[in-house]
Amino acid sequence: MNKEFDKYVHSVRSAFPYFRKSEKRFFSDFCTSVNEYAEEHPDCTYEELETNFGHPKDIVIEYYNQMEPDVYFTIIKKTKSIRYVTITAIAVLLTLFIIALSMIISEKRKYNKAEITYIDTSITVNEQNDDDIEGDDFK
Amino acid sequence: MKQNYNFKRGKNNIDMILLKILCNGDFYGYQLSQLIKEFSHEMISIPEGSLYPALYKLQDNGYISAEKRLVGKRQERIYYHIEPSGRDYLQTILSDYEYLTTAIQYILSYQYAPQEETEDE
Repeated sequence: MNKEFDKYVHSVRSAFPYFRKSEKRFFSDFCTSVNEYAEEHPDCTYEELETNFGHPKDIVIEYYNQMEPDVYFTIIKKTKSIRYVTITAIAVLLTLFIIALSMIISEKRKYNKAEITYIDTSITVNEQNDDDIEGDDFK
Repeated sequence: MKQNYNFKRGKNNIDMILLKILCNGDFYGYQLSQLIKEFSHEMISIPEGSLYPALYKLQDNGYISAEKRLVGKRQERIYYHIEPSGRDYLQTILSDYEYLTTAIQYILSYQYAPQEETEDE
């Protein structure tokens, strides 16, 4: 397959702000059309494809221009809800992170303030008693 | 005679062209765009960005149907076929188009001649 074809088709794909089912359907049909042209003109350049099919940005604009207004509203609504969910998730994660961080800091402060205490343990060995026990055993 | 024309229906021009061509037989997307160029003597070209969404809308409304056909070993083409409801719809939009062009022609040929005001003194 022509490299110019791949490059052109890739730039059209990248120009789409969304890539839902309907965009996928269009993109697949669009690729078929470009492919038909590329087979007819095996040495076609990127510029030639752009002249025949349009600039990637213009193709996307044309595509959305053909849509009914209610489709726009659905896209706007979805975008809004995605934004809302993302912002909420980020806020929750940030709050949890701040709480965890403050807990770590307060624990570290407590650790630093703590005084080192030693436990003195003394073992007294009563030698006299031990000798008595040993002496009894020999008997 | 119709009362007035809804300008929102201006997008019907693409539908009209597509349905009219599909009256001659079943064609696939790329072929349709080439035929539009050819039949209009290279005066009109419908970009793919407009052509496919218009075909999808016609298909969703049941005016045309689509059929996948295998060409060669691997290549698939989607052929579009006009349905009886599509032919009826074409008649409606054709009469709308004729009505609109007549109305525009009236406007363009109208010569506005302001009436001279007579001063009664």
